[in-house]
Amino acid sequence: MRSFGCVPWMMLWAGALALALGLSSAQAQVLGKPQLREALDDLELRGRWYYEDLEAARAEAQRTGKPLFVLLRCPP
Amino acid sequence: MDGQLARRDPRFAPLLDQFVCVRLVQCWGLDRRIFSFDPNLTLVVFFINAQGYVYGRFGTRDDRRGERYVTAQALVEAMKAALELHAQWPRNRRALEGKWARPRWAQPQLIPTLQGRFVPVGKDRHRCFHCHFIQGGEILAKRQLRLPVEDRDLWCYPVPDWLGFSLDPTKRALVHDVRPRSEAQAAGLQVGDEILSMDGQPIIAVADVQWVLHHARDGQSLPVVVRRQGMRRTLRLFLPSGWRRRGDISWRAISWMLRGEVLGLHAEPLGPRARFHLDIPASQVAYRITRVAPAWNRRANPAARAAGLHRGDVILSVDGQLLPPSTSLFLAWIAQRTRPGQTITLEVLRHGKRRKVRLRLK
Repeated sequence: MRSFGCVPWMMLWAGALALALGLSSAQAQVLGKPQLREALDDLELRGRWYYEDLEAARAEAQRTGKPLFVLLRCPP
Repeated sequence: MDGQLARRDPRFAPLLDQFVCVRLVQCWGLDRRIFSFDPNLTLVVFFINAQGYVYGRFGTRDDRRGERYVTAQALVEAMKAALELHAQWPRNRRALEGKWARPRWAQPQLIPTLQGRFVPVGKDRHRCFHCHFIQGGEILAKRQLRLPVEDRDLWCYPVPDWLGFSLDPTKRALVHDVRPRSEAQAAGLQVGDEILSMDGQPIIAVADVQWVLHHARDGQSLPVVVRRQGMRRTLRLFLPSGWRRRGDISWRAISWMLRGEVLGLHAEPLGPRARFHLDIPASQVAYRITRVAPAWNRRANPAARAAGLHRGDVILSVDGQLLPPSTSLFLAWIAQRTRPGQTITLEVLRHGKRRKVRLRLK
């Protein structure tokens, strides 16, 4: 098994932290149309959602091999 | 439920991470081959793949017990089942083809009677309209084009209860109850059966059962594959003629459109006590007008108001014929048996006097 003994622990922790921050910031990004969301009072989204952009989502599904979860919601 | 999903509630988050998540709040431009659904829901989930094949649907509204089938547990089960079907792709391609619709109008805004019905949303006035209007818009368009309005158009997305069985609202499709002397019992369905497929289509939620029933024909014998005590069995569920008419459609948006826009009034059947007080025979159905379409409503038929009909008037017959015994059947009579521009004669009781009123339908 490969040893990490030669890498200082502080650097490992810093790298992990940077990776976690980067991921969470990418996940918090909401793709789509802020004006529409505001107009519809639809501001609760957290994490990565494609907002009113099915084609972009299908392209990502094609690229990643994931299925799509499409939520249709009546405007409040 | 919508808020829980939007905020990535911990119950859903690990599963949501395995999907590409999309939130749609407008039906403008939706491909109805894929996105056909019960239009009277407030929340619908589609599980699809990048090629547009539908793994399943989630979202149900019951004419008797509201949204009892919409539970977090059932959605979690449906998400897991969709992921299982995705793992089987493309071997299951043929079985999934039945989950596509064949709509007459490919997108909602192409339905002729929905032209100009877009609801402005907020100050930016985004184009939008309530999905609830899709069903009614399609029925009114069929009337205008002299196309037959089928029972399926009116009693859409039937719940299994209409055939005598209900499902566990916390599972995918687990039979919870079978009513004696029902079609479900005749088919051999038993409590605890897990429905795996219907008419060859995999089932991941109650909405999928509704999808199959919605598209089935009267007189058809639907193959139902169940898992019972670890063994697979194929049953046959027979759909008798007129079975859909057991359901209630009076709560649906279609009822507003048929009453307000075609007839120009709202009316409800009179109970036995009211009929007794009005000296109407117990065997005769009568409807009391509860609302005449207001003049400001430009979509409503103004003929009822122009004809002098009032709230409280009691309708005794139409064109000399007795009225259907329920609001649903009355609405179906309007949709299926009348034409736009047709004039009907109502026999109306007001202050103890009977009078005839001619009404031009829209």
